Amino acid sequence: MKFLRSFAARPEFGALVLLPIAFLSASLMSPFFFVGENLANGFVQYTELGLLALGLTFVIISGHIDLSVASILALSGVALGRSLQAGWPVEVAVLLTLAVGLSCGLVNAILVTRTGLTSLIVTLGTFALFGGIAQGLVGYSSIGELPESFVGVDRLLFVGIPLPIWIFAVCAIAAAVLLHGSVAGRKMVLTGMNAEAARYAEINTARVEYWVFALSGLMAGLAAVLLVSRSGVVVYNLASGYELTAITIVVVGGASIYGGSGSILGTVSALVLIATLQRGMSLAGIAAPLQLVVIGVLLIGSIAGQSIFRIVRTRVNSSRKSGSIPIDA
Amino acid sequence: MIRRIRPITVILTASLVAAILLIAIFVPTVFSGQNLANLALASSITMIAATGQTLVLMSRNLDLSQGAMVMLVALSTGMIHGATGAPIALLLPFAILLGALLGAVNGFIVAYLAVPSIIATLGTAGVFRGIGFFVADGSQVSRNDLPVDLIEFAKLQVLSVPAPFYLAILIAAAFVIISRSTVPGRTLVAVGYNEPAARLRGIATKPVIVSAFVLSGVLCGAAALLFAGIFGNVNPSDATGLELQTIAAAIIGGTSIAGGKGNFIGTALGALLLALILNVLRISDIDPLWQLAIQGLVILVAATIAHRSSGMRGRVKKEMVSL
Repeated sequence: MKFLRSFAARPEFGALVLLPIAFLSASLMSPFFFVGENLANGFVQYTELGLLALGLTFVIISGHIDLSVASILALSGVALGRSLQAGWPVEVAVLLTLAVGLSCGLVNAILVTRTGLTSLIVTLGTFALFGGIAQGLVGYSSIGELPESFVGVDRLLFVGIPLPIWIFAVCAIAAAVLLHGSVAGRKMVLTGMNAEAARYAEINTARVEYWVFALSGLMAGLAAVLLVSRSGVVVYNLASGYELTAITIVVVGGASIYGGSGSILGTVSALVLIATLQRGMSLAGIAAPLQLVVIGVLLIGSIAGQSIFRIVRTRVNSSRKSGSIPIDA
Repeated sequence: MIRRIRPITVILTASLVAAILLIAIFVPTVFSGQNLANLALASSITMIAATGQTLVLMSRNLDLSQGAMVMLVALSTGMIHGATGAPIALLLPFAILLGALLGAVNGFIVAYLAVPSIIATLGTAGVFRGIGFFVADGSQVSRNDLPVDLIEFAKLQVLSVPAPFYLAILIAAAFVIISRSTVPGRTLVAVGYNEPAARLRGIATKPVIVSAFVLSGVLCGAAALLFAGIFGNVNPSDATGLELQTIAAAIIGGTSIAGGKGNFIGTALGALLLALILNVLRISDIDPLWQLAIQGLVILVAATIAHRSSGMRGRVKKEMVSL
């Protein structure tokens, strides 16, 4: 009982409970869902979103938001496409892409720490700036005819599982170790809980901000490499709208939008949950626009759930300990 | 009266004048009569929606669903007229009410479900756009589906200034008066400035926040009619990123995202400045694809300048954690 209660209080609880339900209903809606090949093919498409969500988990846990992740992906993707087109070796082009992603993240970090603007306004601006630069560089045409040796990372199998899923798994494990098992991770959580208190505890919150935005940018760069390799083409609206789904994944995974709590396991389970839902809906013939509606409702619903849970818990706790003042959230 | 003119308004007017002088020297074609009329017409949609955004910002929230609301209202109004031929006398209240309803949904989620406005409106933007794609079902609203009155109104010019521009100015002026010297206006300022304090003073803060969102929806409804009239067709991916422009216009105009401080004259000037920048880009043959990047740059620069000049740095920093 005690174990159950402590499990229910963990951030990933909601996503983990919903997951089998979604799996079951997806299998019931379409007999094709649970076919092994379909399952792997389906989830390969979500590795890029998963990487964005991993980076965002750090940002959100430390009390910030990054609306620019999809734009960073687009800009890194354009850099990748252009450098491959110019005949650069694949390894150099990939390194450049990661560097572009990282630099975009650092730009966010510099703006957040130096101007004193909220990360919301900064990344709203860089969302337009990075996305706009990508758009201006590519134009209405697309960058195609990428080298054979680069295209099709999703067709490479390792122990029967596509390579992108392995890459995502490695990143997720590294992220979990960083967030839950390192001093740096604790500093991120503490900054998100209460930045002021963290500063008094001699945590360099500006450095934490550099770390989380840089990680988010780097993940977006890596996602760009996988997405371009998988689709074999760069267009100006590459990954547009991904930020909505990525943020949804992180908060459905139980990370508090106010910062200070969340887990990598939660983000990964929410990713699988949303992938399952979308794949299930697609296979059941539900149109893409309605899926957009479902994602939006899920995003709002999960946060509304969090706030209602918090309000109820505050009331219950305060009625238990008589004398404490109930805080009206 | 002089006392009430804010420093940011002076800075803004000065930079607008400087920009106009520079443009007059380097890109004189901007000031042909026809182009000025186009510029005024283009800015009127942003200006009306940005007035709504300013109200929401004053309540210490943000409305990222404006583009989707404008699209959904314009689309459904056009589809209803196309299917039934309903007269403008019915379509006008329909558009306003639909806008109010969409705004009320946002307001309810933010005020009563305690979801931060950025997340709530990011979500509803997806929902509204999804609904738009769904009801359009692959088709779009064309010129024939739109009421003639609407297209005529968009073309109408009084003293060679487009009629929609007068409407936008009128709306902005109305909100200047409302926010400065009426009880609801001052209540909104109080709630935005410090919500817990306003609550302790006996103000029911939740309905105030809902009304800010409802007004944003209503103004988006009005902007949607202009949108349909001016562009003559509507499809579900239209008006994407309008919210970026309205936020930019408001921030350039000195409205603080920390709440409690709105400047409707500034917002109108901000919308004009944005329209001017985009217009100059278009005329000087810069690919319109670069507009988005320029807007991003304008948002960042304007937000930084406004932030530095407002002397509210400590306050924003402190409240950053609560988004």
